[in-house]
Amino acid sequence: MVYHAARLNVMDGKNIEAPSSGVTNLWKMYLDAAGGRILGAAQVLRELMAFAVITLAVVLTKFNSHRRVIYPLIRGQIWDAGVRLLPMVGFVGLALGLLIIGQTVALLTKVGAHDYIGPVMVTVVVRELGPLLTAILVLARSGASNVVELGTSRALGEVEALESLGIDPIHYLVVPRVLALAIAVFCLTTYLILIAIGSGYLFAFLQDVPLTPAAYFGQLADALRWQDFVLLMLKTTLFGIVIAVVNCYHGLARPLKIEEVSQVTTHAVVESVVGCVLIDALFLVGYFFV
Amino acid sequence: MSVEPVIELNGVDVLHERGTEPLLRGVDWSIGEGEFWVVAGGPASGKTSLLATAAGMNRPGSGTLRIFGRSLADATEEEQVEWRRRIGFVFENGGRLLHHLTIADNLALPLQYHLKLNQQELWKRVDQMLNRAELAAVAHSTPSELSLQAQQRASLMRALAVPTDILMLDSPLRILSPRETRWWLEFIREQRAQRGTDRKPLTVVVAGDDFRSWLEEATRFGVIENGRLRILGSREEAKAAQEEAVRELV
Repeated sequence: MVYHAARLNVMDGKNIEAPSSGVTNLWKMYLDAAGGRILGAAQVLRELMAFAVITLAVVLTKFNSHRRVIYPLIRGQIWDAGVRLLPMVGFVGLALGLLIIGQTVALLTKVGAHDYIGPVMVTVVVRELGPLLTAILVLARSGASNVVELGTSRALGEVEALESLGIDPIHYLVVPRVLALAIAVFCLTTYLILIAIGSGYLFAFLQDVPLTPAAYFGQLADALRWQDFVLLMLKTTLFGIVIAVVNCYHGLARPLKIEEVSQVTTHAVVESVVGCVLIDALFLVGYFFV
Repeated sequence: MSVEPVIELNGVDVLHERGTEPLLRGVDWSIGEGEFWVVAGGPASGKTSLLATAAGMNRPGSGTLRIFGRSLADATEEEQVEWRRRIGFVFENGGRLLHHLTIADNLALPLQYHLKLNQQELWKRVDQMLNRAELAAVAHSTPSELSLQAQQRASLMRALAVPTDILMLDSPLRILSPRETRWWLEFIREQRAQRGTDRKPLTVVVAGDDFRSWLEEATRFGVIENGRLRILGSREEAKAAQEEAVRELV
């Protein structure tokens, strides 16, 4: 809106009288637009943090209450975001193994750098590609549909209906999704990594790479530290939480009209990806100490 | 004879969910236990927001709201949940059932959430409600597969699923056929008659476009005019009102 207003001002005759004033206005316009964007992003971040804190408070205070309603919802969400994604994640893991790991192993062996297979696999697959790819798959499959479902519920007034029944919408709609996505992203990442590593060796074997399974898996085991398992669990759990919180925030946090649902879905997907990439970057610091 | 108020609004400004500008200003309204109120008003006059505010779902812009003798400003979260459990609310245009649940699951939800019933008892109660609403044949359909009239009946049952002291109905007859309207009036009469002996009398608050269908049932009347709630009083007082705007409602 700021951008359009500024652009209209530039089109005004007064603003294009002198070239220098036009250039100044152009700069001002872009600065205004950039400032508006930054302030808007800061506002969204603040609201997201508040929403996350409220969700955390509800998880801590009400996790065990109304178990007969909430636990089946958590199981249902794990089924939707986790179990139903197994074929897709398996396919991507297979592709990752065949296309990237297999070729990397073959290349490293060809140049005599087969000692680096383990560290390269751990860095590329376990620490980076595996978690990020899984998070993006979960976001595409479940995250976006969650925003649409919640946004539609909000627009149709079902959230108010829940409140009128004395049911906390955060407890009923958000908590199951946050817990389920945290569990699902962790489990699916482990599954993807195992398939990718297995299929990677299969590709190398088919290319007659002189590497025994014992040597291949031995190198991987040597390259892995216990901190890798801890950080993998933390990172994937955080990915799941970020995706769920961002999606639920956009679907629920403010009154919506039905025509706004597609727009908030786009915002939610973009912000989830940005959030996951930022967390990934933060974890780089942790990996320096491994 | 004065009755104990269950809901009191004093100088309340009623806000729309999305807005900050009051729809109604300075509302003074006392709803007594067992009373049957009808508040009429034109389209977008603030009926829904008034009901939502009286039920404690919308925060008043100013003034004080007391529900079951306790001020909203002082109420804890647990107290507010308890109020909502005791106030059944039926929304307009189909009642806002949860679209991802079947009709049976929609009715079961408040029972599962608020009452500690075993599965057998739970589904027995759901079956009873479905039979009473003549919805047993569509128990496993989702709301979008049903007409708005059927959805609204299910919503009425959901509002009364757990023991309720106040029933609030937001423009319930607007989308109903004459036959369906008769069913609703008969059902509400039956609910109030049943309560008389063993439980607290059911208080009913209806927001509607006019008083006509409710004249035989309701005991107290109010009208929304120019952003204010005007209390007309009893049935006789409402009928005796001389203003053209009120006479149109009767």
